[in-house]
This record gives sequence, structure tokens and C-alpha cells, in this order.
Amino acid sequence: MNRYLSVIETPYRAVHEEQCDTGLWFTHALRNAGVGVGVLLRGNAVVYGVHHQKQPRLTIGMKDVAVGPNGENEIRALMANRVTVYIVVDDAADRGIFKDDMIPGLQHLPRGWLGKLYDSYQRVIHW
Amino acid sequence: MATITIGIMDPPLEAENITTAFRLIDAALRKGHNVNVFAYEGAVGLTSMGLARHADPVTGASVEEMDHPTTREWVESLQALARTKGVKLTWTNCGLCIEERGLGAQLDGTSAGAPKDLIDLADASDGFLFIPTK
Repeated sequence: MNRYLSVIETPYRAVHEEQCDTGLWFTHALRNAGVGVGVLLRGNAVVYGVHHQKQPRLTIGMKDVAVGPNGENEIRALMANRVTVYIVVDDAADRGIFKDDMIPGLQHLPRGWLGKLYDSYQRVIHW
Repeated sequence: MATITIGIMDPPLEAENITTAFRLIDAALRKGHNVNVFAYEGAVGLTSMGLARHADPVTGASVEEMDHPTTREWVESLQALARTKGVKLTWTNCGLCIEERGLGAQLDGTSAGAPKDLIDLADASDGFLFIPTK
């Protein structure tokens, strides 16, 4: 079976409606189905790699959203399910995010190594 | 009290634009302003009666644990907020967009209109914001 790399570059896409990131959710569903998957956080999506994230409560109209999205929890759940999660450290640094800000266990990757990473997977899904 | 018209295009469950639009509508209503919404293209799905809550098979969370909001419920909730505040929230869906998507079953209190309705609403408003899809 081919190995898939999920490249997450656009974060927060409909996360309040879905209560999760759709790309990460899909990747986790693949993993649960026995597919070999990895995750790459790049561009603005490196924010999912920041630890100690809090989800502020959201109220729209008369309705509270009781269960909000939490990118950190999704990343930790994937890693707990033996999914390797890479983060482009240059993209993180561009946004003021450094090693001490990140979830332990992320694989730090310079931007210049992306080609090698892509070559190590047979399929790439770019979200 | 001002009147604001907001146009939206994104469908449910695809973009953060809709949450942003809902928050703007919510804030305007809370401040006592009237709001007109014109939903174009995929945004007519926001008030579809076919939207449903669901469980999460990845995390194993039940429907009750997820307490999953649908956009239709959010719009109902905004309608309730407007009544509480004594202001008007009008919601006009593009009628053709509804037909071509087969989304005829729509939330009470919404209506079907045409592009000219957006212009009439905008012309009669103090402020106008259109949030297009990308």
C-alpha cells in the first residue's frame, strides 16, 4: 500500500463548524483504516504545532459552542496513533514560533529538505 | 440604530468566512443594529433544513458529546437574538441558487430573492459588506 503525506498549509478551514481541521481529521481516518500516513505542517498551518493552545468559548446568537476545535489536541492525537508529524521550522520562525513553543515530538524540518521528504512518500495530499 | 447588509457566498463546512460572518452579524445585533443577509451560491446551504448533526467516528464522540452545531441552528439562534434585542434580521437566499442545488427546504423566516434584492438592500443600508468565496 502506498504511503501518503498530508500537507496541511491552510489552517482553520471551517474548524468551528466541523469542530476540527478537515485535513487532519481525514488523515486520522486514513490512519485508523490502516493507511501509512505522515503529516507536514507548513505555511500558516505551523500554528497547529504550538503547545498550550486554548480554545476561547464561542457564542453565536443565543447558542454556545460547547466543543471547540483544538489543533494541538488533534496533532497530539495523531502522534499518539503513531503518525509522524513534521513542521517546517523556517515557516514557524517567520511567524515567531520557535522550538520552545512547539509540541514535543514534532519532527523539525528545514524548508530546503521538503523535496527529500516528498520523495519518501508515494502520494501527497495538499490541503 | 443602523442597518447593515452583509453578502456571503461560502457553503456550510468549507471555510472560516462563515464563522466570521456569523460573528459580525451577532455583534451588530447585540449593538442594536438591523442586519440584512444575502446568501449567494453555496451560502444558500447555510439555512437548509437538510443539515444534520453527526457523531465523530475518528474520536468516537457521540452526537450528544459533540453538540455539533449546524449553520441552520446558528441562523435560528441569530434570529432569536434579533427578537430579543428588538431589531430586524432579514435573510434572503438567492432563489436560483437554491433551485440548482435542490435545497428547497429552507429555514422559516428566510426568503428567496434575486441579485437585484441585494442591491435594494445595500442601497437602503448604512453599511454594506460582501464576503466572497475564494
